[in-house]
Parts: sequence; C-alpha cells; structure tokens
Amino acid sequence: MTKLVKLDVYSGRPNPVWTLSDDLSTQLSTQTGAAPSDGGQGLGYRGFKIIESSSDVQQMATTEDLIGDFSVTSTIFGSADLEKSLMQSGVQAGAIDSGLAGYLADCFGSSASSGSSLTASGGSCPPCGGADAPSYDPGKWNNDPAVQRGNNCYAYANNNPTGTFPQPGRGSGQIFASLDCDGVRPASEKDGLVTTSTYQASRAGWYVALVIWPGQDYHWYRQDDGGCWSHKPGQTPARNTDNSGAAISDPQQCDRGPYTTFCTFMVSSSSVTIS
Amino acid sequence: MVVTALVYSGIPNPSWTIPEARAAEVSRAIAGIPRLDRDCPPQGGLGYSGVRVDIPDRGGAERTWIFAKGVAVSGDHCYADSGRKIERLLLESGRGRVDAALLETMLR
Repeated sequence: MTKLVKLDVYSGRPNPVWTLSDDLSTQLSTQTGAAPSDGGQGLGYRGFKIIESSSDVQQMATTEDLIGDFSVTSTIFGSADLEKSLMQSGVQAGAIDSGLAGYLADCFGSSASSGSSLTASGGSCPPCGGADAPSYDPGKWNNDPAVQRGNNCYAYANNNPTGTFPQPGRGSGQIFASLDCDGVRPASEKDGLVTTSTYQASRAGWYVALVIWPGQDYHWYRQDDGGCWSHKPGQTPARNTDNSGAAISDPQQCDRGPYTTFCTFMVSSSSVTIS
Repeated sequence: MVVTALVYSGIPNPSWTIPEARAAEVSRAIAGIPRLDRDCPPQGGLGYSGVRVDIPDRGGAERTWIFAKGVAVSGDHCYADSGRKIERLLLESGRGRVDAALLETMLR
C-alpha cells in the first residue's frame, strides 16, 4: 500500500494528492496523540487526510480521481503545526500552488485559535445566553430525507421540524408581506418571536438571527447551547458552518453568500407557533 | 420528472416538471454519466447550491440526483457531470418558469 496525503478542500474539482514522505510519516506517528478529528464540514478547507492506496503512484503530485480506490487512515485538522508541515510538503510536491497555500495558512491560524478540531475555522464560540437553547444535532434534520426536504431555516431556527416548510406569519394567520426586514420581522413577531438588539443577555428561550437576500429570500440562524450558531439552508442539510466553511461565532460577521442584509436578533421559544 | 433549483432558504425553491421530450434527453444523459471513486462533495450552503431532479421509476419509487459544480450525487455515490452539462440542461428546462435574472445567475 502507498501512503498518500489528500488535501480536502474542493467541492467540484478533484482534491490534490501527493506522496507522504518518511519524515512526515514519522512526525505524524509521534504527534497524533490528540483527539481524532473528522475534519471540517461545508465548503472550503476541511483538513488533510492520510490515505492508503493500492495504486502504484509514481508521480509526486496527482489528484484523487486518478488514484483509484483508497482508504482514509486518519484526518489532520485543528493541529496548526502539523497542518503547516503537511501544506509545505504539498507545496514542495507541486500539489499546492501559492494562492491555495495563502488561503490554507489563514485557515490554520483560525482553527488553531478556536481550539476546536470539529470546525473549519472562525473564532471561539461566545457564551450562550438562551437558557433553553437547543443542542447542535444535525442528524435530527439530515438523516431522514423527508425531514430534510420538508423543513427550512425557519423550522430549524425555531427547533420545530413541522415538515411544512413553515413561513413567517403563516402560523399566526398572515404570511409576510414583503421579502425585506420590515416584512419578515413583524410576521415572525406575530408567530411569537421577540425582537432584541443583542444576543448577550441571559434569558429564557434561545436566540435566532434574521438576514435577507434583498428581494429574493430570507434566512435564519440559531444559537445553539454551545454558543456558536447553526442553520439549515432551505432543503439542504443543517450545518454549523458558513459559506466559507468557518464556524459561526456571530451571524453578523459570517459569510452569508447573497443574504447580505442583517436584520435583527430575535428570541424564540417552545411557545412560538409556526406552520 | 420534477426539477428543483436549490437556491432559497426560507421560501420554497423553484420547481417544475420537465416536458416528456426533454425528460427523455435528461434520462439519456444521466444513463451515460461516469461514476467517481472518491468522496462526494458536501452539499448545501446559502444561495444557489445545485439542481435536484426526482426521476420516478416504473415501480412508483423515485431516484433523486443532485447536480452541482460538475459533480452529481445520487444516494451514496457521486458521478462526473463534465462541464456541468446535465446541470445546465436541467436548469435550461426551467426557462420561462423561473425568474430570468435568477436563472442566468444559476447558469453562470
């Protein structure tokens, strides 16, 4: 079996792969005493995979689509020193260009400072002020295809998988009038959500955040009991990373794609009615 | 054969049924799609993240495919959609049913 390194970073194109040097192999065996990692989730950098392939890989650098079947033996993510060594080996092998190396260097700094091995990047999680904040449990929303399809960001933020693709205001008799903050916020208030200017205060319920893709759509985030934020983009899986693959410590600051308008924080609770 | 553009988070996604002639073209294209021996890419994110097609079989069940960024995912397997050919074919089938500016954004 040939030992290789795969950089898990791309979504569409094949990921870069290169041979693992003896020196790095030794370094890995002595430094991987930390808790095992599954790598990051979402778009962008998700870690280095040490893989084994039965293929006879001759060249230093290749891509994952050209090496046939392989198995992953370990994932390196959240260990900045080791990640930097692996990146340098990828650069030397010709598998990582300077642009990609610059992007990766930023990712390592962020993930190291967060102290987390499960998120791609981003700062540490803030305190959670919502006494009833739900736990991040993506399986509840993603494992059953019918649940995943039938629930949107509004269902997820309110922690209520109605299966009806609920809309702000529909639970209280009048759906939002316009796709902007002044349309969606009051409609969700009628459903029982409470507008607030901050998510710092300790209180009952849990904090959610409303953002707008101007004229097109709305989106909601929720703060989980760990303090970081998660969301469910429409019919796609629930996740705790933003569009850049970073952990979400503040939805005002994260990569929200086209949802460029931040409206407000609000408070949800089990008494909110959505449909 | 129902196509859904995965683009919105809050409001329902645009969805439409493909006319029979176009459906046959899509079926032929999917039948020849090569399988990839690698991890399937993660799905989702905010904004346009791909197009889904639900294809009924003779037994009444459905097989779902999601096309995005040159890769198709169906079940636990992923396949190569070279040049986003099938993804674009599916999106083009929504012309006249989907907001024109939004469609152009998704096709880019």
